[in-house]
Amino acid sequence: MQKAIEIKNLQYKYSRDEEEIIAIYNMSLDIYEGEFVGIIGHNGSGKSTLAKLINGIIMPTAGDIFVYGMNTKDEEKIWEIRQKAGIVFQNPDNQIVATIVEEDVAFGPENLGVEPGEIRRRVDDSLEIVRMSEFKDRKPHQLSGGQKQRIAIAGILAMEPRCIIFDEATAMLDPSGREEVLECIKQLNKENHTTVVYITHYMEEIVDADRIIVLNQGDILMQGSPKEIFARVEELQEVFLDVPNITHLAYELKKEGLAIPDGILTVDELVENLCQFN
Amino acid sequence: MSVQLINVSHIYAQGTPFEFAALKDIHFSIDKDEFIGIIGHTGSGKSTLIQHLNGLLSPTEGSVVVDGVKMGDSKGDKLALRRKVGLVFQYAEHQLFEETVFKDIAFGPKNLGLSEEEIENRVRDAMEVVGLDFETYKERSPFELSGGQMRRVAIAGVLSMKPEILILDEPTAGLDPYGKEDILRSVYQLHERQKTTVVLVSHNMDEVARLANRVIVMSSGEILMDAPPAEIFTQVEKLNEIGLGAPDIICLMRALKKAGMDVDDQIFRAEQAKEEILRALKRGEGAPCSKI
Repeated sequence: MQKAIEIKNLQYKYSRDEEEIIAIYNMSLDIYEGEFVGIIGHNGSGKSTLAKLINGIIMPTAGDIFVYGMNTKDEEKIWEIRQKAGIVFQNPDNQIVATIVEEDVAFGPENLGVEPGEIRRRVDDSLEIVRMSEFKDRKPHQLSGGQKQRIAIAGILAMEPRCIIFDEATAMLDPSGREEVLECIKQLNKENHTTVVYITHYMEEIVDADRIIVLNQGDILMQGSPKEIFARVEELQEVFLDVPNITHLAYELKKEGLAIPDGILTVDELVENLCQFN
Repeated sequence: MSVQLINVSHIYAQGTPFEFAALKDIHFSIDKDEFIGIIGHTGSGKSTLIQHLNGLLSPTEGSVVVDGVKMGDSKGDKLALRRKVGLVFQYAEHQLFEETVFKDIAFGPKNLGLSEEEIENRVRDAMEVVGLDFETYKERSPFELSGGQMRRVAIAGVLSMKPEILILDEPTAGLDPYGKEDILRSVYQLHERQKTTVVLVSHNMDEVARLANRVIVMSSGEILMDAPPAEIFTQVEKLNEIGLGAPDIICLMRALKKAGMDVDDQIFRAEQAKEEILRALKRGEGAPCSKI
């Protein structure tokens, strides 16, 4: 499998009040083409710093990051890196630049110097993918949070990236907005085979991920399938994380002596397991 | 202290093509000692509603009655109300502006013209409530703190005004599970110990299910439901219909019941669910679950 992102002995530190803070501590990680990788970790664990490093917004103080083989330190490649690996941030209002939806989506490819006919095609396709075509003439401020965030995603899609990093992209949305955006991201991964790096605080959102990476103090604490990760309830709680509600209830029931497997993720799974005792 | 909204409507940009009725004929009151959860999806009118509770917005129609006295439009009336009703906005940390944590939290009390000593006491108390150690943090710049700590400084800034009613708009949005718990615990203790009335606006059903003793569901500018949590969260279909979704736990209990397990399907808190499932299994002899 081709590596989409290759992180080698990455370190990122900065100073504050003459005190040195290490945000990322000697991290090595490969993310493969087509993967859906969930990244969790408490506030300050280095998640957002990692996203910014991958996108070349900040530079490693040691080690290297390669995005499709290109080193983020290579200034000549930085635009190509950002085109290949786009990033969607938390606040939709900070990411929308134009006053009309389709103009906003066209902003990226215009800056890449894509010719007009091709821009038209990309804008239409991108809006189609996020199911916002009928809103193309609308003003972004008239849209809901979930709709705005989908426009931000369309703006990234119009650059035709192969990988998209979502940095808490659903944190500011209500449950229906969150579901709408998450569905759209899952579909991108499945149908367009876009590599997805999904940073979140909502454990429920990544139960379907291919792999989950848990960060703690700038380092990878554990990684594995959702089942493997969410089976480690106590370790997660130690680093101030939690497991999905249903997983937690299953864990509590298991502690009471019920023979339930670790890492139950959904209501259906738990029902199925409990029913065998009835 | 009580605040009543009587037939309140609020229309934005009235008389323009963008006219929008954010609140439609709202009728409700907040009484002493309540812990109210307000839920509803984006655009349902939650934020407009809470801004009427502390005089930031005035009703287009209807009236706001505070302790039995109708609020006028005078600046004095509104200021008096704002002192009693503290409002913590969404992403409140964006409003931090002072050089030190102390100065930021002291800003409100200072404007009240309180003595230095009283100001310090208030800052101290407020920091204690939100779990920030006074000595460690008072001289720190608020901008060097973590997101969760900044949020707590912002909440302390409102608490230092000693509000009788505390309104929080999505106080846990964007925080990690630990940061969330910290803030919710602080708010709950404030309610329990100092008897502060709390209004919590949240997207998180589980949060509200756990803490509130009264839940208001907003939809399209109207109050759709106003009842104790047990009556709200058991209406799974209705919640789904307005795009809110019910707490996971009640969905589980319903699925178990449907599969043939003899459990109470009205339970929506995890702790009770655990007890109920164990009890049902101990009873044991029930019919085997049907295939799901």
